[in-house]
Amino acid sequence: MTTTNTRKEIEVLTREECLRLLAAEEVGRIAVVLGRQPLIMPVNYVLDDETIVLRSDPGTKLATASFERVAFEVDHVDRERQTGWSVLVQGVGQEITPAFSRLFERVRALAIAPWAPGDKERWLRIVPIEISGRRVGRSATS
Amino acid sequence: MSAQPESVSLQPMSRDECLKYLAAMPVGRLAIASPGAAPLVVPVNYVLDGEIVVFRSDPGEKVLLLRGSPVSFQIDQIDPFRRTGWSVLVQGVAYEATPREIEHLHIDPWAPGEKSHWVRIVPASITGRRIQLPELRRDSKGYL
Repeated sequence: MTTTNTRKEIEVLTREECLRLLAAEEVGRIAVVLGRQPLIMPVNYVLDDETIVLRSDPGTKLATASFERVAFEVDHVDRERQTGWSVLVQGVGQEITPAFSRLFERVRALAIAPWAPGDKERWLRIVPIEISGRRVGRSATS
Repeated sequence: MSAQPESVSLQPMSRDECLKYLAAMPVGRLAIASPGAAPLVVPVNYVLDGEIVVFRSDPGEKVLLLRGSPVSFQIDQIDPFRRTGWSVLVQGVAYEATPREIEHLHIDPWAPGEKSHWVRIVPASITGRRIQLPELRRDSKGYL
């Protein structure tokens, strides 16, 4: 059994800190619920003001996220120092269709460049209800 | 050995490959559905025991929600420079482990707390996929 000399701590992140971290990342994970089964999928995204915007093809994400409660998570893990942080956005998914006109134009203009193949000509945003985050491990200020 | 795709593609990973990655990572993400609310997603330290993901938790909402519930456990690795990555998703049912089930296991969570509850995720499915880049040349074992 290994013991570490570092003092384990947990730090609750402020909403501002969470938004700063969300703005700085480009890949996060959307969690949707299919029936009773939660699913987690990595996606490219951008933070637009305080909403998460991502592109998708028709499929599970669009079918299960639009007008449903969803979550979005980003994190960073430092294996060597045994530290990490995570930010969780819990909110409502909303597909932005051309019917939204100005909002549609706005999300289309965002520079979201998915790494995965596919046209991804559908836009989904997550409107946050709650944003929370924490940092764990050694007392760290990264 | 399959031919190299002409363009970026999304390739399924074998169950063995998924398990190999699951055995190697220190942290994964647990997703729990919460009736009438958004799912909860939290990173946890874990170990893989055979094909079963085991993690420790403090008593609280998380443990109450996940007993006997369908959950997901996910790991991934992303490479922002090459714009690629892989993701493994375990879908299963979580239940609290008996002392005998965990006596041979050791988990040292990075987060503070007693974490006296040991939880096992019995997998119903283990799937993975990776973004395959066209310029990669791999040998038959999947190495660069």
